[in-house]
Amino acid sequence: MRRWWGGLRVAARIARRDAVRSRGRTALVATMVGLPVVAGVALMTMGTSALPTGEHEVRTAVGTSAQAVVEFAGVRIEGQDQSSGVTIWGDGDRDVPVDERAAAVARLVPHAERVVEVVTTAGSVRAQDGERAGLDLGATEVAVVPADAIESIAGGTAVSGRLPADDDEVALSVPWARELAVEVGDRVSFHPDGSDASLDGLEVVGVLDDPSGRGVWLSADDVAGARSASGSSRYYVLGEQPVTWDDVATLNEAGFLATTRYGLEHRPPSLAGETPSEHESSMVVLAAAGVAIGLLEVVLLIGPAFAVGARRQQRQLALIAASGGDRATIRRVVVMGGVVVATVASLVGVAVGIAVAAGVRAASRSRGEWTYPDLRVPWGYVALIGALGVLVAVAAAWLPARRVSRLDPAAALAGRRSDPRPHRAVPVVGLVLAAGGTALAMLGALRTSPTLAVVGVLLLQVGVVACSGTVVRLVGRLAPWAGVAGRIALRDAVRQRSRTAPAVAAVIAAVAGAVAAGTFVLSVDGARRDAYQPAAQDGTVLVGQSFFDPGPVGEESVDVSHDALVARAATLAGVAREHLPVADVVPVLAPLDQHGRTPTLVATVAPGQDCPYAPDGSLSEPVPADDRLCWLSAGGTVNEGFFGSPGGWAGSTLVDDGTVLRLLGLPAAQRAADALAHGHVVVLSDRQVWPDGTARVEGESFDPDTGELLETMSATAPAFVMPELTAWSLVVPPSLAADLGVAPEPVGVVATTHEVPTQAQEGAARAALPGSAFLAVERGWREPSSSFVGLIALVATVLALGATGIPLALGAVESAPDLATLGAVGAAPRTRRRVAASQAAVVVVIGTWLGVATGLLVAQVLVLARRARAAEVADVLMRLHVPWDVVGLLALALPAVAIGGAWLLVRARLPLVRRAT
Amino acid sequence: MSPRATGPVVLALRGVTRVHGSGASQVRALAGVDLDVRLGELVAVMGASGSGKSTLLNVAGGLDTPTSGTVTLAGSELSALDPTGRARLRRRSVGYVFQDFNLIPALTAAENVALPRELDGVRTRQARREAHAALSEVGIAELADRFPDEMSGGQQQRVAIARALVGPRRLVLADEPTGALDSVTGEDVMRVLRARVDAGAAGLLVTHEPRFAAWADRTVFVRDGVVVDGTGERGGPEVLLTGGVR
Repeated sequence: MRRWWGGLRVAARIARRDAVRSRGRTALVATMVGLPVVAGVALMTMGTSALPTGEHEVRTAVGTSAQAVVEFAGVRIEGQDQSSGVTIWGDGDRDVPVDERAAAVARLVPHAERVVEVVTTAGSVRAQDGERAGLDLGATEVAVVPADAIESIAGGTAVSGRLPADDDEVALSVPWARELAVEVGDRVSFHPDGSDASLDGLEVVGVLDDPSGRGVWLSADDVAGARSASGSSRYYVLGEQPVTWDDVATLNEAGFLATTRYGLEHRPPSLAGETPSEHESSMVVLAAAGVAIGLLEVVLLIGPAFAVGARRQQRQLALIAASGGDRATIRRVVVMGGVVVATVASLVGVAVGIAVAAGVRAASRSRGEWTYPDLRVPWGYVALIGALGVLVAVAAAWLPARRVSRLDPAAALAGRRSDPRPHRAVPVVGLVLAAGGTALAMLGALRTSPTLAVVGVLLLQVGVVACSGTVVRLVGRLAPWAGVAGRIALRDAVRQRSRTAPAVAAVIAAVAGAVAAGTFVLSVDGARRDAYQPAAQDGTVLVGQSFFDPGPVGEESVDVSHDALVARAATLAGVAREHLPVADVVPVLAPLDQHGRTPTLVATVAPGQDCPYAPDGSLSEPVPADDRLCWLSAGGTVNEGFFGSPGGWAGSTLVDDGTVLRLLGLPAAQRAADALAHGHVVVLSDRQVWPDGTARVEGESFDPDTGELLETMSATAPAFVMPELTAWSLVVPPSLAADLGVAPEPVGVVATTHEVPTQAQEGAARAALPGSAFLAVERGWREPSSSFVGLIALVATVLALGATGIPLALGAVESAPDLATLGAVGAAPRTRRRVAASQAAVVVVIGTWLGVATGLLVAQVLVLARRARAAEVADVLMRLHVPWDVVGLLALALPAVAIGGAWLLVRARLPLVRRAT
Repeated sequence: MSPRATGPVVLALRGVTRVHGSGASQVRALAGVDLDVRLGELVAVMGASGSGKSTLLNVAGGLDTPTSGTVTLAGSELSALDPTGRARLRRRSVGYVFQDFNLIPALTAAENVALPRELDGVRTRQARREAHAALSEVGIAELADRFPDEMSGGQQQRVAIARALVGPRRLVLADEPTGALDSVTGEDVMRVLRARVDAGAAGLLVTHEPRFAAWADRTVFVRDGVVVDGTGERGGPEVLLTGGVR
C-alpha cells in the first residue's frame, strides 16, 4: 500500500510539473474539459436558482402578510399539494355565484379577519404620451386591489415611490416601468383586453420590485366592477391566525383551491407519486444519452493530447522503468497527467460556471426580473459535474497510458521505435461494434427505446474509432504510388499509429458530431417545412378584434351591437388600407348567438371515426400528417400559417359564402368556396363526414360568469373536406348559420396585398390599431436554422483542426531526422512543407470521411427515433435532409484548411541533425 | 584482480543469449555470454557498434530478458521473476546511467535521485534524506533543488550516478555515461564512478573509448554477441602514470 502511495505521489509530482512545462497541451486539455464543466455548472445553477423557494415563494404566492389566497374551482377537491401543485379532483360540482364567493370564503375560514377580492386581468398599458407597450409582449397581468389592503397583498418592495392608495393611482413593476419609460409622477392609461374601455390619467406613484410577475398594481374601491371574462378573481385571507390544513380541506370540499402561508412554510409529504412518469423517465434517459454521447465526444477529442503526451514522455517513462517503476507506475504517471489538469480545469470550470450563473442572475435582477430569485448552487450536482470532468480526462488518458505502459524500455531508451503492435482483434472488434451498434441504434429508434438507441450510437462510434487504425494501415498501402512527401507521410502515419489513430479519432468525433447535429436540425426544419400549411397566399393580412365575451370594466362595456361591430371592422379595414399595400378587403364574419356571445361550434366526428387516443389523451399511434383534426384534438403541434391554431381567435368558426375562402388564394380554397356557395359546410377531416355525406354541426353557449349552459344548437349540411384549412376549424355557410340560430357579425377583415408588407409597414399598422385588436401577415415558411447549422460546422472545423494540430506538430518534430536525410540527398527546402501537408492530409481526410459517414448514420438513427415518437405533425414527415453544403464544406474545406495550415505553419528550411552535447 | 575486487558476486551471467526478431530478420545480439561482476569491481565492456554491449547491459539489469541462459542479480535469478519482480529488483539492487537524457526533466536533482526509493514505498522525507546523502557523495549536494535543464551535462551524470546507487543499491550499469560529454567532464564523471565503486559498489561500464575503460578494474571485449577477450585485474589510471601499464 505504501509503495502504491509512493508511486502515486511521484506520478502526481511528475504530472504537475509536466503540466506546467507543456503549457500548450495543458491549456488545450484544460479548455476541452473546462468548457463543458462551465456550461453544465452554469445551467444547473441557473436552473436551481430559477426554482422559487422559501420566503420568495411565500411572498410571490400570498403577498406580504396575507394568510392565504383562494381561487374558485367549481368542483369538489379531494386534496391538493401546495409543493408540487398537484390537485386531486373529486366528484361533484360546486356552484357559488361570483358575487358571493368572498363571503363564502369568509364563512369557511371563520377566523379570517377579512377576505379581500383581487381581480387579475390582462390588458395593455400605455404611457400617457401615447407610447404603447404590453400588447406585443403578451398579456400584462394587472392586479386590481382594494386600496386599504394593497400593502398586505402586494409582495414586492417599492424601488421608488409607494403603493397606490387611490383610484387614480398605479404602481408598475420595474420591467414595465422601464418598458414604458415612465417613472414616479408620470401618467399611464390601462386598456383591459376584450374591452373598449380604458382607464386614463392613472398616476404612477411607485415602481415595484415585484416577484409576482404582475406588471401593474391598481387600487380600486370597487374591485367587483373590474371583473371580466378575461380576468380572474382571487380571494386573499387576511388576519393573524394561519389558514391550516383543516381550513384548506374545508375550502377544498366547497370547491375552492387554497395556497396558504402556513402550508408553504410547513410542507406536507408530497401527494404526487414518487414514481416518475413514463415521459419523465424517457426524458431522463434522453438527457443521459446526450451526456453519454457528449462525454464520448470529449474523450475522443482530448484523446490525441494524451496520446501525444505519452509519446513525448516515452523516454522519461522508460527512465522511470529503469529506476524500478513497473507498468502500473507508468500508467499512473500518464493518467495522473489527465487527473491533475482536469482537476484544476474542473475547479476553475465550477468557479466560472457559478460566476456565469451569478452574472446572469445579477443582470436579470438589475432589470427587475425575478427569473432567478436567489442564487442557489446545487452543490451535489456541481460536484458530480466536476467529477465527470476529471473522469473524462481519466478516460481519455487511459488508453494511451495502457499502451505506453507496455513499451519496451530498452528500445525507448535507445531511441528506437517502441510502439507495441496493436492487437489483431482490434479492427475485427471495431467492425463488429460498428455494425452491431448501427443495428442496435436503428432497432432502438424504431422501437422507441432511447436506451437501446443511445447504446447503439455509442457502440457505433467506438467501433468506427477502433477501426480507424486499420483504415490508416489500408490507406498506407497507397504509399508506393504517392510522391516522396506523400509516401513519407503515409508510411509515417502507419508506423506511428499511436499518434495517428487518436488524431483520426478526434477528427471523426468532431466531424461526426457536427454532421449528425446539422443533419438532424436540417431534417427537423425540412419536415416542418413540408408540414407547413399556410393559412393563405403570401402577403395576405388578417386584422381582427379580440372578441371574447365582453364584461364590464370600469364604467363601460363592449358594445356588441351590429352597428358597433360594423363600425369597428370598418376601423380595422381603414388601418389596413392606410398602412399596408392592400388590394381587396373583405370582412370576416363570426357567429354570435342571441346574447351577443360566440358559441362553441363543432362538426362532430362520425361514428367509428374517432382518433386513436392513448389514455393520457395523446395519439396512441402515428396518424397521417394531413389528419390535422386528430393532431389538434390530441394537443399535438401543427405547423401552420399566420392565423394560428383554429380556436385561437374569435371562436373557431367562420361564416362565409365563399368570399373569404376565395380570397385566401389556397389551391383548395376555390373549390371550398364553390361548395360554400352551394350550402356545404367546410370541415377539416373525413372523420367529420357522416356516412350520408353530411356534417353534423353542434353548438353550445355558456354564461361566462356562472359557466351555466345557456343554449344548445345543431344543424346538418353536406360536407366539404378541406384539410388545408388552418385559420378556422369550421366554415359554415350563411344558410347553416341561420339553421343554427346564430347571426354572422363582422369581427375583423382579411385583405390581399399587392406585395408582401414590410416589417416596417406591419409595425406601423400595429401601432395604429385600437387596444385589443391584432394583426397578422402570412409570410410563408421561413428557414430558421441555417445560421445554427453553419455555427456547428464552424465549431466542428475548429475542433477538428485543434485535434489535428497536436499530432502534426509532434509528427513534424519526429520527422526531423528523415527530413535531414532528405536534405542531405538533395531535397528542396519546401519538401518539409510538403511532408507536413501530406501528414495533415492523411489524418484529416481519413478522419473527415469516416466522420461524415458516422454522422450520417447517427443522424438517420435520430430521425427514425423522432419519427417513431411523433409529437407533432412534422415528425411524421421526418426524413433525412443532409446539409450537403455543410457536409461538402467539411469534407473538402476542412482537409484544405488543415493542409494549407500545415504548409504555412511549417518552416521551409530543412533541419540539420546534430549530435546533442 | 585488485584487492578490492574480492567481494561477493553481485551479477552473474551464464550462457546468456539474446535473439531479436525471427526468420530472415533474426539478429543474434548475444551469443552465450558468461560474466561475473563483484562488489568493489568496475568492469568495462568494449566493442564495436552493434556488438551487443548495450543489450548485455539491458539484460544484466532486467530491462530486457535473455532468450536463453541465466542472469543472477543480487542473488535473484531474473528469469524466475515477472516484470513486477524485475522492476522491484531495479528499485532495490541495480541502477542505470545512460549516455544522455538521464534525468526526468519534471523532477529536481534530489527528486530524481529519490525516485527509486519513493517508488519502493519509502516515505518522501526519508527518500529525500537518502537522496541528499547520495548527492553529497558525488559532490553536488548544492544542486539538489535544481531541475535537469538548469545543470550541465557532467552535473546531470553525477546526479544519475547518485540515483543509480541510492539506498541499498550496489550495482551501477552505465551505458556510455561519458558519450555526450567533453573529455574533461568525462574524466570527472569517471572519477566519481570509480570512487563509488571503491566505496563498495559494483559497476558495469559500456564504453568504446579506451581512456575511459582504463578506469575499470578489468575490461571485456564483445564481438558479435560473444565475449572474445578480457584483461586481467589492474589498478586505476594512476597506474598509467606510474608505469604500471602491461
